[in-house]
Amino acid sequence: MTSADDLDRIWREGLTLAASELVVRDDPRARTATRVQRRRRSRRIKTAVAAIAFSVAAIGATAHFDDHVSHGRVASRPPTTVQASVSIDDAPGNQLAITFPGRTVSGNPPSVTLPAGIIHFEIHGTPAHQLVIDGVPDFTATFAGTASSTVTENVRLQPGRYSLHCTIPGHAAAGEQAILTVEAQAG
Amino acid sequence: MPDVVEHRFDDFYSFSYGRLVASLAFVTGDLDLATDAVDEACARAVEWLGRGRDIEVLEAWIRVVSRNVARGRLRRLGSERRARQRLSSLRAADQVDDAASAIDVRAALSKLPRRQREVVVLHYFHGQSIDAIANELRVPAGTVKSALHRARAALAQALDDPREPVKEQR
Repeated sequence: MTSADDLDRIWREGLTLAASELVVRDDPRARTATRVQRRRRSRRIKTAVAAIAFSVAAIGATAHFDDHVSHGRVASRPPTTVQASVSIDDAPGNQLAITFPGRTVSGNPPSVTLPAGIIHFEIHGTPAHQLVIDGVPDFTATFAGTASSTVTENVRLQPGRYSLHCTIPGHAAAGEQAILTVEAQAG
Repeated sequence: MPDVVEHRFDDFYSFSYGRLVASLAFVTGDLDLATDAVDEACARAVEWLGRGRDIEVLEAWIRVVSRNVARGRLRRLGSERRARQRLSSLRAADQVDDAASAIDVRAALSKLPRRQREVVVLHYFHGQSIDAIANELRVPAGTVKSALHRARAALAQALDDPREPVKEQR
């Protein structure tokens, strides 16, 4: 009967001897260097493939959004669904005429209620006016030069009450303004 | 490879590399797989250090990583049972002499499950304490003691009659 100490000793000596009999491949340094280079190359390829996939996805998303947007400044925003369209005529007598949706909004200043989310604005104007919405820096409709023009804007509006008006001194007070009330959508 | 990293690997290749490959070969029963796993761990260590991260004890780090790499490959190969069969014939290509103790421990090792082989190699080959093994393998100290007890029993059986197959442990 072999004692536990003897068995421990045989384990130790036997494993050491067995290890000495193994022929371990030499030059591990070169193999490691090769492996490091291979891993780096593989990582670069993966990164490049991921970048290409991301670019393709981004191009697709932008193209989708461009279907809804004609104004270049907002074309890079993420694609979203347009909740409502508003038509504004900034021509007659410094007073805004608002059409929404398919009807003319009355009042002085005219007031309109819109759903929260992306709103598509189509503004017809004559020089020289500049419409803004307080608290919505993405929205600016500038009418310069000598001829009438149309500006389209897609902006995201959160629930709240907004003042849309001309920035030229005296124009808002003269009636070139409107009130936008944005309400959260149910559900 | 930066100089600092280079110096650490000089010592590792001189004193530790061969031992790690051998110990992993004892566990996996496959010298090529063991070499490949240690090489992979070395490459990961180079990258790790190259990114400015620290490795306190290089040999221990590579031992743990190479063991995990080998486990993963064995799992994929589904070769645990085959590895145990190969262990009894694991030997050098140019082997001339073979001491009885080396034959006995290989025979005994081949009858142990992988986790017990890992314990045996860490304790008898790397000289680690029971607590250190329990910490490295994340098992209770009692599991380590039990594995060592079974390892002694397997060796005793191999010594009593090396011609008879040692009863396989579950």
